[in-house]
Amino acid sequence: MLVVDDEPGTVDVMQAVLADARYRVTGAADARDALATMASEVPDLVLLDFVMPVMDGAALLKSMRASADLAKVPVIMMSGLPEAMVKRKCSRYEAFLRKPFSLDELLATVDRLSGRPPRR
Amino acid sequence: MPKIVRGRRARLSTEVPGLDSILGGGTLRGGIYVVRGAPGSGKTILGNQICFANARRGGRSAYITLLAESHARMMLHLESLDFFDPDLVDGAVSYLSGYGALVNSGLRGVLDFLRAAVQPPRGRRKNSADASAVIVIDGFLAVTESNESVTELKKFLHELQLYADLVGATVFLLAGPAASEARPEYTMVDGILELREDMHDLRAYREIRVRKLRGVGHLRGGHMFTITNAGITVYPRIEALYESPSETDTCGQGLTSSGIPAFDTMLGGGLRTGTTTLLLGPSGAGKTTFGLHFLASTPRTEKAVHFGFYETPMRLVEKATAIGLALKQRVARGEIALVWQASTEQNVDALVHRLLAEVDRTKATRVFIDGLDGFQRATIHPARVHSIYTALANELRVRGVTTVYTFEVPKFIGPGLDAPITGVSALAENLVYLRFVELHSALYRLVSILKVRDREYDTSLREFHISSKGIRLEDTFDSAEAILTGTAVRRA
Repeated sequence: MLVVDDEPGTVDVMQAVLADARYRVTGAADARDALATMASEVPDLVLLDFVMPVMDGAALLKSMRASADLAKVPVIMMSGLPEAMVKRKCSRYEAFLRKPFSLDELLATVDRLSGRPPRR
Repeated sequence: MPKIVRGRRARLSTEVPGLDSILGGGTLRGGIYVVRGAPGSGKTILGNQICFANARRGGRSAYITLLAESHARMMLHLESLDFFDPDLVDGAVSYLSGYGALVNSGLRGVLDFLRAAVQPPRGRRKNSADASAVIVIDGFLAVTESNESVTELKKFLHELQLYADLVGATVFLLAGPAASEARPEYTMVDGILELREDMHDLRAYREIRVRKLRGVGHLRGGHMFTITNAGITVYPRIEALYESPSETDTCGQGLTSSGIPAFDTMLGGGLRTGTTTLLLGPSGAGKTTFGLHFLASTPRTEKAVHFGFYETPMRLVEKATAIGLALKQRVARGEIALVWQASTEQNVDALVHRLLAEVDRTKATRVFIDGLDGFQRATIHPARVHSIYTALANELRVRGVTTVYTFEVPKFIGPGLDAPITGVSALAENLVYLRFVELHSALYRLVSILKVRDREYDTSLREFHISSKGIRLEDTFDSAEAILTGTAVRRA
């Protein structure tokens, strides 16, 4: 799984809590870093921040969908903006999480897209 | 049930009496708050009180110390406080030491420690918003004084913020007094509460102030608080809390009796409901007796409150009985509540809150405040008095309460009237002056109405008597000028 977020600390925290939930997580601080990481290993799932400098989440998603290797990788778009605003720029993601979100919401979404059974 | 206000970011009650009011409704879930103050200012008690209140409503609380002191010692002091419940310790309330993590691994270690120690609830709950979490980090000064760089501290706070959001926790960082307002912990957090103790002459008082609060309006300025066995109680500054009246004034048009029929006639039919009447006069002039008549004439279907600083409830009942008023029976039936407080080291905001709470509890339509000056004496900052009286009068008015206040004026005999407080007379719709007049080496009591707002009234002076049958008013005096000079002589 890949977490892409330019905010310092966000990737660290997401990595830590997802690792606690027994996911193997890699982090990327921007879109260019993410593309380089995905070129060497295709992730099962991408958690993608919408607002990022230079190349934002929408642009990275577009690039992924245009790539033969990455076209089918499920993406969870994350943003503090309402989803309606995000949808104006992109909609080809599998799930949306509005920041700040709870661990319950995060794990429920990640579990669902990873095919894990719901937690009890 | 937790008092959670739903919204983009839910708010969570601290359950500390009065604190939510100055915080604009509580704290943000996932918010980080710095509570700072000198040793002894009450930070530890506040942190623990919030932890136990959260645990009591079904939430999880973690109290983490970054200091090299044992929890056992802290709990020894907490045991005497009402909110402390040993059955909740090591269950809903966890006490953890993060000192080792800080010393061995710095801020990164503290974060890892926190993440491992404060586990989110297993699985998703149907009402996960109800599973509130509170994390208190005591000794945050130790973090800021550690050898970490400002960048590391900012990163720590940022990650703490993210983690708090993820687990839905409200975090309180307990720290020492501010060395600089520009420190990263102050710029990055959602709120800063400052606790302090100060002195006014020989009197010590505690004050809480919200220095910063993101995303919500709050009550600015200082607010008194107390620490008792019940823990911390905050008394929001009354004129700030009721800057505008809490409800709309319905402007009652009805008339209600003062309890003295002849005086009702002088007033033009009685007191207008929902108005305030100020009884001015020197000690012994009969102000309390007038007020007792007012209370005793409360209609059977209504409730009344006596709020006084002088006579204890027992003495008040005796006094009423001596003048033929059946106060005792009405008090016994719960129709009239007698609230008394010694005129000693009182907190004016606590007094006003107590009065309004009693009015709300009893749904009283009549209030007799015997000794408006009692509030004045309880006020550390004299400049507040007029604003406090305005807020109090407004709140009683919008509750539809007809209020009679007494205020003692120093002049014992004579024509003049010293205004007790600048502008206070403007607060009252009705002004009544009771005074003594010297005549043939004897003192006589006179009553006169100085003002009845928007209504015709009898402007004449009346002599009145107090006997075992209560107050009885005489006819109008003829020689007003002689009486007002206090030197009148009986005509042949």
